[in-house]
Amino acid sequence: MKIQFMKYRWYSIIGSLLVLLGTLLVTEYHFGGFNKGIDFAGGIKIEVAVNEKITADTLRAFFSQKNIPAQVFATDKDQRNTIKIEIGGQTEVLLTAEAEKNKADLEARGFAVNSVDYLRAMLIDSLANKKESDVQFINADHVGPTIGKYLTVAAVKVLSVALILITIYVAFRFRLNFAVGALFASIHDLVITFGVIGVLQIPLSVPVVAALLTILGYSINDTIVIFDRIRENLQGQEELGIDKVVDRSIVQSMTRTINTTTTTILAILPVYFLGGEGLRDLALVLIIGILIGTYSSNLIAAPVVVIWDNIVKRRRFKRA
Amino acid sequence: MIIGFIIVLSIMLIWPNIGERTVNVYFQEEISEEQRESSLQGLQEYLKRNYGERYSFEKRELKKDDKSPAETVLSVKGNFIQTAFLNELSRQPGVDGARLQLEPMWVERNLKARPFKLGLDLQGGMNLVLEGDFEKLKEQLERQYPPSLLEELNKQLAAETDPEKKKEIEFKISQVKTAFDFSDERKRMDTEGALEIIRSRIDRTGVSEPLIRLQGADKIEISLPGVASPEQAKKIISSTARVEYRLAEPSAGGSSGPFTTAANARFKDYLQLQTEYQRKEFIRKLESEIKLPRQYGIFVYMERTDELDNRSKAGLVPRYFMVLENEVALSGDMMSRNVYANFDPETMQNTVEFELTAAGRERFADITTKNRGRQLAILIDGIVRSAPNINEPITGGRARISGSFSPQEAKDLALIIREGALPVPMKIVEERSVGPTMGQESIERGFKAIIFGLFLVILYMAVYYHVAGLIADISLLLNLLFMAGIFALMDFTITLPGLAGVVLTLGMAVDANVIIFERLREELGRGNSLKKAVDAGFQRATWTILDSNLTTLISAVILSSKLGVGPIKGFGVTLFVGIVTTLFTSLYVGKAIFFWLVFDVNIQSLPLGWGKYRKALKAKVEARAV
Repeated sequence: MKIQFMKYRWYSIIGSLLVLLGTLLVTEYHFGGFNKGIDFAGGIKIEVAVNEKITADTLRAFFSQKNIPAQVFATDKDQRNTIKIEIGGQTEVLLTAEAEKNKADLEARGFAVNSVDYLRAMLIDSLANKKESDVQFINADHVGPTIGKYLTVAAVKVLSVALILITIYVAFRFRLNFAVGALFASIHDLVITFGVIGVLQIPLSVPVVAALLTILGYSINDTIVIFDRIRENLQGQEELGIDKVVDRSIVQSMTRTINTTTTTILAILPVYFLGGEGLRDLALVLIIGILIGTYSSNLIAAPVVVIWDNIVKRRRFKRA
Repeated sequence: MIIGFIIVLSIMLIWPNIGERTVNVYFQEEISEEQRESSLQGLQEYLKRNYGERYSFEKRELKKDDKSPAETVLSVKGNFIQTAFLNELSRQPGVDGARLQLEPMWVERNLKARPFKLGLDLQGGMNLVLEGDFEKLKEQLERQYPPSLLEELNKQLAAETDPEKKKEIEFKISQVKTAFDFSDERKRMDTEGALEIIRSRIDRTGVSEPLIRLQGADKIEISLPGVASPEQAKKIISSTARVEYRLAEPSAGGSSGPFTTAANARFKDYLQLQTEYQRKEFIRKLESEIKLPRQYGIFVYMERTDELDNRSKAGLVPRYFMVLENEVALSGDMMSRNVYANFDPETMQNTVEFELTAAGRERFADITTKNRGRQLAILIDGIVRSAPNINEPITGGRARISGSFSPQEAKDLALIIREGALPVPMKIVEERSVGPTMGQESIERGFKAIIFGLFLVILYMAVYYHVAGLIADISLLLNLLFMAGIFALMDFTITLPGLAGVVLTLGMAVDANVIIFERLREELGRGNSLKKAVDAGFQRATWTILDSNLTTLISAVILSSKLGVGPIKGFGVTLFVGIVTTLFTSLYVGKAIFFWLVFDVNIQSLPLGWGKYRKALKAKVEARAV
């Protein structure tokens, strides 16, 4: 089998850039930016038990009457009979301020002074005739506006350090052009996955960050296996021209590429379907990232190695 | 041999998690027989209603040793008993929370294996992140030191000629300046102080396995397993600790006072006691036994240790008795927030310097003048945490505690003194609560997903690579087992994303086997004999596998290093352990199985799946037969 992957190297690189640009543009102009989720933008997420007084309708009526922008939606009936409420970061700040104003009242009733408890107190008063047991919060997440920045900074820092060290390792074990290829491919995977996250409007959360980091690991692993093949085939065959060697290496590794990608995705699919809401986004991001990672090892990392190699050779040629 | 040993060890290490566990629920001793009976009834009904399907329970009579009388306990048995459940039990009426713990298993006593800790997302509980509200603190300080004060002081300084007084004003200026210095260092110190206070508040409530740690410079993360209602958790945190200062019994010529000596003679007996109630009773009896005058009382000096001691959940260990005055000499609110650990270059000693409020200054001067040479004990919630000597009268409102402290001890003492008030008001910036049933659901879903994913991978490998695939499957299962064993040793907290990380690692672990098998097929396809192919195949594949895994290992190390935060760190650790076990199972266990089959059993062909390599191999075998 002979496929001349390297003949089309510019197509895949330009194609990736176009996809990246496209996803970012769609995210920005169609959706108005990333869906930041409460982990990053701050806000309140509450799951409340349904009973005759607490239903989606009464809750919606309550929020519109109080003029609180909140999203109310029912969860899957077969899982739990609950309703989810999501409130954005801006509103959360206002609610906290309100809670602070009603501090004396909240404390007298034994509630802590913060937005979640303030909301619960209001619900108890308006919808449950002041009967506390009728308003049961099953889950309550409340994230202040500062956490997101902290997380972003930490994630970016961790990613950069990891990338730099990996590049150094690859440069040391292989050659500089391989290191450049690996670096490009890793950044490519992270950024494009990020773009797809934006297009699919997956809410950014801590598990999603963890997934991005894993993709980095997976993609590097995949890239190195192909590099290893290229390095092995290069020995004594350099006169063939690096593109031929790379083509052959990619073909030789093809079965392993397909099998590894398949098994990894097979392992994650059940997490997507059975893992419940908490894991669905994480699994989805992983699946997307793994597919992109597989693509980039073959059609981004390897071409960059070839291109870099050609540039270096041309320079040497000119100098000579 | 080695492989067998590691397998057995891993199974033993994870046994506390999968085996059946027992919890003996004791009831409080101070309540009456009828109350105890009704608590027992109530608890039984509660368990039947909420946990009837998962746990079994029975009434038993237990004796601590032959001498003590039998006690009625409720023995709860079941799999997967979590801390959250224990914390829930301890809040039931009449239950003695202090004596509630899992009966340790043999491996736990002897091998340091601990049951897995489940993250709050899996066992239910409350997670809070608090942040120091330095804006608010600034407002408060501005009330204390109005902005005009500094100007005024500067004017005074310029006008003053007397060097003594000049020094005093300069000191005041620097004091005001330090109060408003919001450097990162200062923020960290204040947050650490707040953390220490919050820790002692949480310790007091008996919530077991709380996680309280610094996040960045000005945030505190708190996890309380099993505390389901947010109100309850927030109440725990916002309750105020009581700090007070009491004078000790005067010492008699270098040695401790007669009552102190008499009380400490019985200290050993005190240590034997199991429950809070027994200890209180013991001290009450001891006080009348040694005929303690009414103005004194016996208090316990405790130290914080890092050793995990099951009996003292708080990590505070009693050291000795102190006889202190019942009258409080100074209350915590008389201390200002300016408490610092310092180093005195003249005496070469670490010291703690503190300042009093205006109200405290006079009182402190009075006490230190009258009671020179006596110890002044610092108590937090009735427990003595430090007892420095009064060396000289302190009239200026600033004092220094000196002694043979290590720098760390001085720092700790400064924290303790500052515990009178939170050094900086805290606000809740993040809050997550997960109900216990939710957590249970997540575990079940998570495990179902893992098992199913594992099954699919195993199936795929067996179908694609036939017998060799089965060998890969064996090493995959061993991989999972080893990972679990390492987690058990590491005292690792499993979270939902962590579980996903495990799944992913399993998917990737197969990669090593795939690389090896593809190599084998290639070697065989070239017409090599099976022996030669296995030999060369492993040799070539080893470096590929090492290189690819080592690069992934780099990112795993970075993620689990100091740079990673909270959940990211946990994920990194999962990845790290996964890579190590993958390398071991594929390059050591898998290789051992292959080499044993090919070289010892001497098989002639090995089904490696479909493809043209088979023909080559077949031809080879036939050629040899001819």
